[in-house]
Amino acid sequence: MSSPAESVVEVDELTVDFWERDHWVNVVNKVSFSIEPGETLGLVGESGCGKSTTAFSLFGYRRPGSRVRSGAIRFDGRDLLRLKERELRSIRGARICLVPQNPAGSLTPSMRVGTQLVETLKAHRASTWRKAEKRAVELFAQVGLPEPGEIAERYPYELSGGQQQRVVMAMALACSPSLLVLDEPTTALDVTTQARILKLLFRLQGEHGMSMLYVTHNLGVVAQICDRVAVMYAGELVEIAPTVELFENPRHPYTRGLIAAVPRISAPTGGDATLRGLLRREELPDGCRFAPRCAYAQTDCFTNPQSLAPVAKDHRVACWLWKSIPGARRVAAEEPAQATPVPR
Amino acid sequence: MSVAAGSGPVDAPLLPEPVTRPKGVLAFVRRQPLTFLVVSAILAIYVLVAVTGPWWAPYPPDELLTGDPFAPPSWDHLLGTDNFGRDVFSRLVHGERLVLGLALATAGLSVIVGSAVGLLSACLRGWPDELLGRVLEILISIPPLIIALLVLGSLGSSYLLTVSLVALFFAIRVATVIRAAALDVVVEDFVTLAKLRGEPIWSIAGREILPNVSSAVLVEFSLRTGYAVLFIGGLSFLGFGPAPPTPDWGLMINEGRTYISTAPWPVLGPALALAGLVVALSLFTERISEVLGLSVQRAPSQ
Amino acid sequence: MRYALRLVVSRLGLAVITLLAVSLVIFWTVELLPGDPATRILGQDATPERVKVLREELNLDEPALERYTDWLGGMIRGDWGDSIVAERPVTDYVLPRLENTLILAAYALALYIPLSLTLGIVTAVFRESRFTVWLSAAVLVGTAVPEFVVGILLLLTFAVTLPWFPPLADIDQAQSLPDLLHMLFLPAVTLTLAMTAYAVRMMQSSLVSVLESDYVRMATLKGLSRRRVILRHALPNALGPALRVTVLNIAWLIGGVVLVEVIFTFPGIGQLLIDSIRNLDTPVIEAIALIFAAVYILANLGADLVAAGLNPRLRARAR
Repeated sequence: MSSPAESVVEVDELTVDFWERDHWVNVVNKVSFSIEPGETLGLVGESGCGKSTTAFSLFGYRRPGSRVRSGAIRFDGRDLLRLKERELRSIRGARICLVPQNPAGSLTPSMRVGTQLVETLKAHRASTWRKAEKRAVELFAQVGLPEPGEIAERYPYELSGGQQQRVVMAMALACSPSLLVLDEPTTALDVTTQARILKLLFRLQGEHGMSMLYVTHNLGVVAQICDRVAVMYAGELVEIAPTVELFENPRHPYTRGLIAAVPRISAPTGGDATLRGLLRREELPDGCRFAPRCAYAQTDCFTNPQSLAPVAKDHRVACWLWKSIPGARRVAAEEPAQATPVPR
Repeated sequence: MSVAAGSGPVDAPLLPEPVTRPKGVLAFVRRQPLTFLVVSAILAIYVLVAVTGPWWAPYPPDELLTGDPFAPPSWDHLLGTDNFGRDVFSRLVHGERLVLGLALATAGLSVIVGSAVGLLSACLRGWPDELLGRVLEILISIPPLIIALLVLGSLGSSYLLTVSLVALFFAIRVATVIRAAALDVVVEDFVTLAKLRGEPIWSIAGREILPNVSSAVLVEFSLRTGYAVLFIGGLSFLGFGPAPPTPDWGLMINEGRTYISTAPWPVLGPALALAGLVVALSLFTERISEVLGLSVQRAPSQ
Repeated sequence: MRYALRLVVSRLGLAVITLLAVSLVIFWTVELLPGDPATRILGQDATPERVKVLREELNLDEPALERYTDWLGGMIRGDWGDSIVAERPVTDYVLPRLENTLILAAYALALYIPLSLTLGIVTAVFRESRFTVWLSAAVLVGTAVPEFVVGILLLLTFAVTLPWFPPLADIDQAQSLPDLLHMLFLPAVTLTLAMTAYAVRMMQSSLVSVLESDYVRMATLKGLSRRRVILRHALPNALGPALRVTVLNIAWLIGGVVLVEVIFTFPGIGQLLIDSIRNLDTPVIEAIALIFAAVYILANLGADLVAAGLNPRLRARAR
C-alpha cells in the first residue's frame, strides 16, 4: 500500500449514527480506508450495511436526521467533515463527483437534462452560459449519447434508463474530478445496458485517470472492475484486500459467505435472514457484529470487538479466528453450508 | 494510513455539530407523549364538565340578574355576566353537555352510516361500487354550509334535524375514506376465501373487512367529532342553532357580539372554550392516527 | 392530447351533473320555506283575491317541475326574478354585493399566497431548527381553531382593545384604495389565516419529501448553492399539492366568507344570504345559493384537474 501522503482520500475511523424515533442508532462504526490515485476501490456489503452512508460522507454530506459522531475524511489536506458549506461546495461536483444509484430519481423532473449539466459547469467553472452549453453537448457526446444536442433539450422522463445513466455520468465527469463515487450505478439497468455502461466507465477512467469508489452488493461487477475490495458488515469494515487476493483467499467468514453465494444466486444479498439481522441494530453483540450469524463463532466472539489486522500484504481482516478457519481457495465447492447465512 | 492513527475516545463527540434530530409537525407530536397526555387530560376535563357540570355550576343557566349586567369577571362570576346579568361561567358549563352531545351524536351517526355505505360499496365491487363511487363524488361537491343554512332556514332548526343533516354531509366523506380503505382489504385472500365459503355480503363486510379498517373508522370518528363541534358551532353562531335562551356556545358568541366593545367576556368565554375543545380534539386525532399508522387527510372542510 | 381532453370533458360533465343536482336541492329546500310566497309578499291581511292573482302571476299553481325548469332557465339567461323584500330585480340587488365579496376574497388570496409560500418553504427547509418546531405547532393549532373564533378574537384585539382597525368593514364608506385595504384588513386576515394553516401543512410535507429526494441530494452533491437547490430543484416539484390545496381553499372560502361577513358586518353576498333566509326572500336565496354552489363545484373541479395535471404519467401521455 502506498504511503498516506499519496492517497487521494483517506477515511479515518468514521462513525455515523442515525436518529430513529427516540434514540441514536449506529450505522457506520470506525470505518477506515484510503483510495490511491487511479485506483478503483470496491465497497461491498448487504443493503443497509452502511456502505452508501460511508460513500456520501466523502462529500461531507450527512443525511437529515444523522450525525457524524467521530472520524475524519482527509482530502487534499483538509478534513471534509469539518469544512464550511462554501468550501464543500467547491469540492462537491468538481473534485469529488457522484454517479448515483437511481439515475431516474436523481435527475430533477422539472428541468431539462441539458440545463442540469450546464448549471454544474457554471457552478464550478466561471464561464458564459453559452460556452457551458456548448461544453455540455460535448460531454453528452463523450458519454456516448446519440444526438447530444437534441437530448440536452429533453426532460428526464423522456429518456431511457441507459440514457439517464449516461447523462448522470456526464454530469459527474463535467469538471474532471479526482474521485468518482459510484453508488450501485448499474442496479437500475438491465444486463446489456449494465455491460455497456461498465465498458464506458473503464474507458472514461482511462481517459480521465481518476480514482473511483464503487459501492455495490454485486460481487460479479466488483471482480470485473475493482483493484481492491472492502467488505462491510453491519456498519463495520470486516475485510479489505486486493481483488484477486480477496476472491482467492477470503479470510472473514462473512466474505466467504458472500463469495460462496455468488454462483448460486444472481443477486448475492443474503435474503430475509440478512435483513432481519440488520434491522435490529440495537441487538448486535458488543463483540463481533457478525457473530450471531457466523458458523465459526465462539463465546469470545460475542464479547470481544474485532478490528482490522493484517493477514498478508495489503490484506487485513477483522476476525481473530482467521488463522483457524481453513484458508479457502474454492470456498463455494468445499463448504457451502457453513457459509450460508443462518436465520435466527 | 493506519488503524491506530485516530484512536481517540470514541464516545466523546469530536465534531462541534449540534445534536440534531428530525423535526416537523408530526415529529413534534410524536416526540412529545407529554403533549398527548395534556391533550387527553383536557378532553377528559371537558367530558367531566359536560357530565357533572349542571350539578355544581354556581347558577342556573338562564337565571336573570345573578349580578349586574355586564359585570366583569370576579370571584362571584368567574367569567363575568352578560347583558341579562346571567352568569357566563354557569351558562358555559351547562352548555357543554349540549355542544359535546350534538358533536358526538353527529360524528357517531356519520361514521355508522358512512362506514356502512363505504364497506358495502367495497364488498359489492364491480359496477355497483363504480356507480356508488361516482355518486359519492357528486355528493361531496355539494357545499355543506350553504345547503345546511337553507334547510335549517326552511324547516326551522331542531337538534334532530341539525344532527342528521350535518351527519349526512359528514357520512359522504366518511364513506369515501372507508371505501378506499376497504378496497385495499377486499383483494386479500381471506376475503376471497370467505366469498368462496359462501358467506353473505353483510357478513363479509362486518366480520372480514370491518376489523381490518377499524383503525380508519376510529380516526374518522375522532376527526368528525372535532369537525362537528366546528360546523354546528358555526351554524349556531349564524343563528341557525338552538333558540335563546339555550346556553349553546355558538349562540352565546352570537348574542354577546353586539356588546363586544363594552363587555368582551360574554363572547370570550365561549369562544375560547370552543377553540380549546376543537384544538384538543384535533391534536388527539393527530396522535391516534399516527399511532394507528394512518395519515389524516386534512382538507379544508365546509 | 386525447387523454387530457377526455379527462377534462368527463370532469366537466360530472361538474354539470353535480350543479344540476345541487340546483334541484336548492329549489326544493326553498320550496319548503314556511308560508305561501304570495301571502309573504302581500302580507298577512291581503285579500284572498289578490293572493290568487299574484299566485297566478308567479306561476305558483303550475307543477313544481315546470317551475323548476322555468327558474333554472331564468338563472341561466340572467333573469333572476325580483327580490320580495327589496322589490327590485335580484341582479341589481345581488351583483354589487357579489362584487364586495369578490374584493374581500381577492384580498384574502393576495395575502394568502405569499404568506403560505414563505411559511411552507421556511418550515420545510429549516425543519431541524427549534423555531420551526414551534411554528409547525402553531400551524397545527391554526388549522383547528374555528375561523369565527379567530375573527372574533382579532376583532376584539385589533378593533376594540387596540383601535387600529374599524370593527365594521363597511366597504361602501371606503374613500381610497389604502382606505379600503385598511378597512378590510381584519376580515381578510381572518380568511387568510385559516387558509394558510392548511396550505402550510400541505406545502411543508410535500416540500420535505422533495427535499429528501434523490434529485435534491444529487443537486446538492453537484456543488450547487443552497438557494439554487431549493428554488430551482425542490420548489417547482413541491408546488403541486400546494396548488391543489389552494384551489380547495377557494371552495372553503364559500363557507368562510359567510361567517366572516357576519362577524365584521361586511355588506357581501354571504351576509345577504343570511338576511334573505331570515326574510324568506326566495329569489335572492336561490340566486346566491346557486352562485355559491357553482363556485364550490368549480373549485373542486379545478382541484381535480390540477391533481390530474400534476400526475407525470398523464402529463407525459398528453404531450
